[in-house]
Amino acid sequence: MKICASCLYSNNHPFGLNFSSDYICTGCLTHEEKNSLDWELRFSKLENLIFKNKNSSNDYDCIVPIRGTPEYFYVLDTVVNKLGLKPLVVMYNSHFNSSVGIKNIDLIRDVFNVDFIHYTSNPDTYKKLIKETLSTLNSIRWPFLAGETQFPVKIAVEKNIPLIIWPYHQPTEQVGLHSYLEECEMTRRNRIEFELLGMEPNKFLNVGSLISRNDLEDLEYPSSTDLMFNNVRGIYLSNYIPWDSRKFSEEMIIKYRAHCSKNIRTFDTYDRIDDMTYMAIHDIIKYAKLGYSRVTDNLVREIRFKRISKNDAIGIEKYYQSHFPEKEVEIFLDWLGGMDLKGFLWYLKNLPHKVSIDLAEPILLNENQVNFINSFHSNSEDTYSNSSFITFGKGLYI
Amino acid sequence: MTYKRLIGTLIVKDDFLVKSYGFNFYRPAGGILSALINLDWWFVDEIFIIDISQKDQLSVKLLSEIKKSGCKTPITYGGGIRNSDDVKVLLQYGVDRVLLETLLYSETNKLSEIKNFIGSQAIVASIPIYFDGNDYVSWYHLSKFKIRILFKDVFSLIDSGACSEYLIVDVNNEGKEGYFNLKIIEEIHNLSNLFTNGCLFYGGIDVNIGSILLKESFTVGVAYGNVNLEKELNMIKIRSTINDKSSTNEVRNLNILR
Repeated sequence: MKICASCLYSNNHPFGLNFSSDYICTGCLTHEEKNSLDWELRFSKLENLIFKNKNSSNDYDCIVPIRGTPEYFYVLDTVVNKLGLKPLVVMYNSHFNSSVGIKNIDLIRDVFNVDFIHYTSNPDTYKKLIKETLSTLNSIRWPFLAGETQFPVKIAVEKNIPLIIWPYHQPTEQVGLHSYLEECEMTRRNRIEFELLGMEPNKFLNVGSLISRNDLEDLEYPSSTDLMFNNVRGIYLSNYIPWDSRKFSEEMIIKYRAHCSKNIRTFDTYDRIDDMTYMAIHDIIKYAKLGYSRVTDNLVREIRFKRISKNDAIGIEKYYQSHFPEKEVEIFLDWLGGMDLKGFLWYLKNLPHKVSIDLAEPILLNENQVNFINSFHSNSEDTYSNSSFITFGKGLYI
Repeated sequence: MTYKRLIGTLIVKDDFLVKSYGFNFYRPAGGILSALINLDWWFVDEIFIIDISQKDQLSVKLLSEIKKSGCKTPITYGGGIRNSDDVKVLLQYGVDRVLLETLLYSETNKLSEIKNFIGSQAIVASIPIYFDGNDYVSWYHLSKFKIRILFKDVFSLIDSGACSEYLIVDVNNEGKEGYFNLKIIEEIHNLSNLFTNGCLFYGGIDVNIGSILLKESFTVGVAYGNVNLEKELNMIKIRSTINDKSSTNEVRNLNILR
């Protein structure tokens, strides 16, 4: 196994990772572009691109898909206040919303005064899909990602709003899939390969599957012909702005009082705080499957921005990976039905990396590490303070 | 009329798709299967799969992915082909033609064997070319060694009857969209009396350069690589733009998408 000389990633990263002759990974090499490119020039390229694609006959200039985290305030702040666009904001319901995530969504609606489409798929179908993807792909996120990556595109085609603005391209930020200068755009292949684990929705239609064609209707991506006729394109702001999730989140917490809260399996109080499964059962499965977890992704970003040393990062990584969020896992298992904690632990045993529910020896952090963790703000109740998921906001619980 | 071809190229290293830059820096690009299916959807005329892993045998994993893709587009495979047995295996996995480089020079008996087995119409000769500051040069392969030779001398060393087309690769600009060195075309014009086969071009080609190259009488196709992994419907848009720019319809028109 090759490990990057600079960050924590190894070549077992699911997106793939290549190395330079001095063992620096493509993710770190690409990150260096954030220091070397002329970002004012790149932002003016974005303005030109927007100007060329502006559709004066439509009520909306673009579509902006969002989630309930501080980072998405930054996306809308850029789109509305810096680029002067009128967006149609869309959101695909994860069904696992935390109260802090719901508060952020409400706040986004208020402060940006934008039109909003919020889509919730049939909860029974969603549950059925999760059961299927948990057993076949070891993923509970697949149904959400499949919905989240097609819904804005479907709306773009239906309402003839050709421009979709996404915040960043995750494989580029993590493993350097593209140079920022290549200005990669949203593609169907990218969705299948990097969001949906190589699994197209229609591949679930096989003998022995619980899934029927009707269950997949919500997840079908528009056809090439529809995309071509409507000239739909999805761009990433990170190709034109040096993306720094932490810095942008903290700016939004000050500017708009965006909510942030403590997470269980990472120090990052801004990342994925809208979803009550992400840092709990999803993160445990990710570790058992791949040998690293979300805290690694967060630490790699911090190492690349030189906000923490690699040595200190390794200690923090182990510290958070040793937490097993038993209560939070049980909330999910109760919601899903058909499996208890004992069954889940048996399931984990069949994955390549061992997850222990009991901590043998407590991992101690040094002063640097504690100070680093405490430098992340928290201004709301903990992400996992609820005893159940909020399917719909505004106090309606199912 | 015979249309000229728009080709999608996939570079594979150690069983993973990569974005290659001058064949000395590689970015990860995910799995081969979704890329193949994508190019198939985009109605490219041919797909080149070039395995640069330099391993002792063909990769069964890669070949299985090719077979699994059910790709209807003709596939040309290059990299690590050593003899006609390798070609037999490739045909079994759904490959239609082969791309050869080393065997063109060093083991001509094996080249003849492959030609007798599959026919020269299914063999493409790969000719990398780079500008070293003074000359346009390529490599002469002798066993495991690569010897620098002038580009103009390459064609006198290759048995033109053993292959049907030349793939001319601009190594300096490979992976850099829009940077293909058009002086290579001048070099080819100077050598045109040596040419009995058509030329394919790859390395840094964008839609504008593609249009220029396709106008040359010796061009039978142009190949696009990294950019297909960056933009949606790329090859469909390139085809449409080339058709709009040209009055002679060099490439096949896809009315279905117009």
